[in-house]
Amino acid sequence: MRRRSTQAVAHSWLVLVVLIYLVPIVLMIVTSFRSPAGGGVFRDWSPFSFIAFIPYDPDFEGYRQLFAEGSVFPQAMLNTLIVCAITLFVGTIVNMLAGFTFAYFDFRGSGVMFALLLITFMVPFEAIVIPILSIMQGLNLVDTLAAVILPTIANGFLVFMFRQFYRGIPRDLREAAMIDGASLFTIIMRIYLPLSRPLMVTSAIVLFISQWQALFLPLVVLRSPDNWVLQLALASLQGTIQLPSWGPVLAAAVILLIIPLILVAPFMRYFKLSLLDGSTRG
Amino acid sequence: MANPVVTRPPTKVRSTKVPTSDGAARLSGNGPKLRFQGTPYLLILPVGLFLAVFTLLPFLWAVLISLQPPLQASSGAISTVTFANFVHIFTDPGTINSLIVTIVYAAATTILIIAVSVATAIALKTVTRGSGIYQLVLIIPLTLAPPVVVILWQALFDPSSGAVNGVLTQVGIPRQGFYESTSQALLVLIFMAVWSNSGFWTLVFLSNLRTFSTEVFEAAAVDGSGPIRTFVSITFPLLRRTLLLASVVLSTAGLVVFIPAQLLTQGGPGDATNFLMYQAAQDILRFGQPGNANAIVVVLLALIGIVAAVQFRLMRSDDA
Repeated sequence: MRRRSTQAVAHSWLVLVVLIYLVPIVLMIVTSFRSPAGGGVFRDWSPFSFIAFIPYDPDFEGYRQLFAEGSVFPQAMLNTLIVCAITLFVGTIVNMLAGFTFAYFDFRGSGVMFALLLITFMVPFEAIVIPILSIMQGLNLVDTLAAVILPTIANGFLVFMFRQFYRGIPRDLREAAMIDGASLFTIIMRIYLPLSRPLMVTSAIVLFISQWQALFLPLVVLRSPDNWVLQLALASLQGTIQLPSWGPVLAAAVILLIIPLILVAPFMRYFKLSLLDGSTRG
Repeated sequence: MANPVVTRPPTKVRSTKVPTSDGAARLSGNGPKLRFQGTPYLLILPVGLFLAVFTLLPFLWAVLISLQPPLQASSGAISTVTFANFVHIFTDPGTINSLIVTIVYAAATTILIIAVSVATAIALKTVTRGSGIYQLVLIIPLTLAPPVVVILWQALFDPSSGAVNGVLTQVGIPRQGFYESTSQALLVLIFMAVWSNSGFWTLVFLSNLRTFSTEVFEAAAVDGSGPIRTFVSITFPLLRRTLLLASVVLSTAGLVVFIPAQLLTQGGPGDATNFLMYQAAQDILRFGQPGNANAIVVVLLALIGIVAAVQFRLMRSDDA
């Protein structure tokens, strides 16, 4: 009897939580396909009617406007893809190499450097965006994509994650390889890299998501609309909302919601495993 | 002390190798010396360089600029050292208000996100079926970018056309001002943070709960421990490490909150959501006062450090 009531309480809580997540998202997606004619896209919201969940008059005007002549959105999409791709590839390689080094070698200063690294991942990135603007002015990189890419490549958390993992790889493996005359490069490419594939995926996802979601740094260092990334384009659309322009804003929000889900979902399993493992093992 | 140890069995020395003291770079675990001593340094050079230029240098730069007199700071010249910017921060009623608003936001989001996530994680561990489907939904907010979250809830909480007021009027509750109301704006932003962060932290707490053996809980049940008693004296202490992680990360993120103020409230209505980081961004981007902006950044960094240190101290205790 008590077990059954416990189950009921747990399920009701979970259903409530799931509804609080799903209802707004579904509502936003359906409304992004609503025709503004006949009372605006929000006409079923207030007073609320359940017809709001039904796409009864599918309309693509919002989406069409996003990709129409003169819209900043297509260029912003291209910019975001460039930024994400470079960050993801370069970032995964350099962070992996650093994590590998801290696990594979003993060298003078490694303790101090590792401690410094841990401190940098305690410093929230948002806190240093404003001084980064000054650095970018000094490097003459304001209003370039490089200003958005460079500060995000090195990631103390990822270095830490790789190092923790590589420390667990038995030393016998490298000793056997060295007896066979394998070079350091071969050992990395043939042993360490293949073993850490799930972590490479995690690293790629972490870097992708961090760039995909970035708004504060782009807002501060990017100026001309040609250099805008997606979140900045979305923010500028949102900033100029008059009631009729909600269509493209909702459409853009839906696109920005769907793309990472499609790209990231297939790899989520790896991501969850290694990320959660690293964070709770301590 | 009244129990002197006379003899002790000889402890076995685990490693017979003498620890190296020449400081030469070698393979870890006292492995062979490297032929080329520079290898490890070359391999960490890229990360080291990036972190030095884009994390450590900005940090030092913020301190340096914050110590310049307001006029020199905006011209970029480094001259004397003055605490004028800090004096201004701690005497200006507007900035003090920002400090309070920021701290309230950080504390409320941290506590609520942890409460919701722990409750949901325990519910997920309790249910015997359907856990996978619930978890699938909880992953969605992880990929939601902050601007998308803001736009979503801006539309829903819109005082005149939003669905929340639409539902409220249906059940006979008068329309609320939400983010346009001085008393509710901060609450709306706190709700948005709880909504967008609880999914991820639920999964973290769940993965931690899964590492506990069920025997402890069964034993407690046999001894007649009710759900509340079990939570207080077993689950909560076992989760301590993850709770510490969550509260440090969340309070830090709360202290540097910027995006909802930038996109939705512009710090208002009045100055109800004028967070410190929003104020700093305004100072540098609109008012051209880098001295003040960087002083706020320094104060925030100090605050983050203190809050993290206090939490580590409070939660560490016995097991260390």
